[in-house]
Amino acid sequence: MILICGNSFDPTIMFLRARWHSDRLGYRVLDLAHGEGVIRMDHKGSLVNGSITGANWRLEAKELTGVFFRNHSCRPEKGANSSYPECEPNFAALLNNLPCKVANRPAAAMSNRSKPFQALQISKCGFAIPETLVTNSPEAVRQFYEERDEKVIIKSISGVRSIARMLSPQHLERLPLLRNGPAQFQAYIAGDDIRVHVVGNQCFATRIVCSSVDYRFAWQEGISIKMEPTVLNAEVTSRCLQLTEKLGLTLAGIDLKESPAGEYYCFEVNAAPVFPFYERITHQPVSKALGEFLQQP
Amino acid sequence: MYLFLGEADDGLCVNLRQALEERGAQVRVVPDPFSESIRFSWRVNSASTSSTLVFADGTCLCDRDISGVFLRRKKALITSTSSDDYSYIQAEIEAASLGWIWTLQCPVVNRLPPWLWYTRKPPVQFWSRLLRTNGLQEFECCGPRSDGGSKNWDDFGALDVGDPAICYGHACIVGRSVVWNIDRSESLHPYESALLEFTRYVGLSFLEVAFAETREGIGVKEVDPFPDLSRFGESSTRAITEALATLFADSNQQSCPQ
Repeated sequence: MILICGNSFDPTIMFLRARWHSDRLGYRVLDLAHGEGVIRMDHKGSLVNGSITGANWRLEAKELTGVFFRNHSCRPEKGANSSYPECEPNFAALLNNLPCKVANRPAAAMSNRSKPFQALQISKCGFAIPETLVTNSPEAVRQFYEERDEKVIIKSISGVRSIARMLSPQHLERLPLLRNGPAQFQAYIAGDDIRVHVVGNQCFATRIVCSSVDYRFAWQEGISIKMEPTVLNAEVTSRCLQLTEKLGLTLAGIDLKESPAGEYYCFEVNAAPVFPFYERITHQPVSKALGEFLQQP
Repeated sequence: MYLFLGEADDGLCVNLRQALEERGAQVRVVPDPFSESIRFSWRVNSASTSSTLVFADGTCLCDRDISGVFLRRKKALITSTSSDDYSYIQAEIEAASLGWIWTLQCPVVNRLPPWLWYTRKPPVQFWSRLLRTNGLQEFECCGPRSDGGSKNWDDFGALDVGDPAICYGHACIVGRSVVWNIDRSESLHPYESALLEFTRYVGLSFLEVAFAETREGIGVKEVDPFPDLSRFGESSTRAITEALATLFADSNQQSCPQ
């Protein structure tokens, strides 16, 4: 039996429930956003010999084959002054220590909060990363902008407000605002975006053809977007699997770009990917693979 | 030059600064490397990484000028009052700082992994698998009921057993040294090698571990990668400071080409 932990009204969770229901996969939902459920642990605080009780169901820990955990759309931790939806620390500890499969354990998912940290892991797995500048210095940005022939992307360093934009002359006028805090600048890489969803040891690659710098928001600019399944060569597939494992993840959304020269750049690894966005259009069976992966003991 | 990311008046920063300066080293305490008074630039690509800090007094530090980093605070101190977007800036500074300390070749105490960087105060259950792997056991968290304890979800975050009366002792692990806040009794002796292994296993070099008595023996009640020296006496504090200074000095000696 699979346990879904998160906000039952989160669109990704609603999508999964619909797919798993039609695929006849057994699951229960523990709604973290609405304080539902009772968790019974053994005297060591472990769930190994415990149980979880929901609105009208009870699940013994030994029946549990896998957990899908998605903390988005959940309430922030009480008193937290953070941009992230925080998980109760004791519950996070429980998920981190569960002996069954978890997609993803909270501890592993945190690498996505620092893109530069992830970039170091990414380059160790053989992917190219774009020339990057992290700075609070307007002069350093101007120099970088000139070096890169004025083709520079500005994006957040953290996982907050993660929208990529082309640096424009209007942005340059606002560079003095960097005194409030640093920002990340990257050399623009031309080519097609490729989103790779890794589930266990399976890869589902989607090629995105779009003229927008950040295709996720192309609709806001009135720009069309084309998505289709694509096949990665064995080496790139192997790097994706290696990177996912290195970050301790079992489910990942890897953002790649294939340059016109055929080089693969990797930008980040999403630990809570919104795979329905791609699956609805390409019909790649990510949710089914995830269900089957979590159902296998 | 050693960089301390923390407060100049932090007791441990003061003591360690003195210990390193007595060894002829230079130390600079920086509350926030991204503050308005410091120009921070860090470039990274597939093959290399390099950073530069230019201070208000004109001092310029490149990666090779930094002998070591002592991290005393992970949360950014945001000095700017002109922004109304505190939490976003906080997230950006934390993300940049975490990435940066992982690119430095010099010793960093502690080079925290993301899960520790972003968890405000991990409960002991967070460490349980790592503790058990290294021969330690965590303190029972659900009270003395062997048949299990129930927790309503809303109360879950408040799960705590903190009964200060049964706290047995605090150990501070610094590199390959263990310093106790009490006279080490025979009962604690067997735990020292496990503590050293545990600290090495989690990739840290400076850690405080609190022990408490359980029905099954002595268990770990708390693990803190930001040791609080107010729990240690004067002689223990001196020993911890010396061990830290030696750790930095030895790490640099080992990394110097012969």
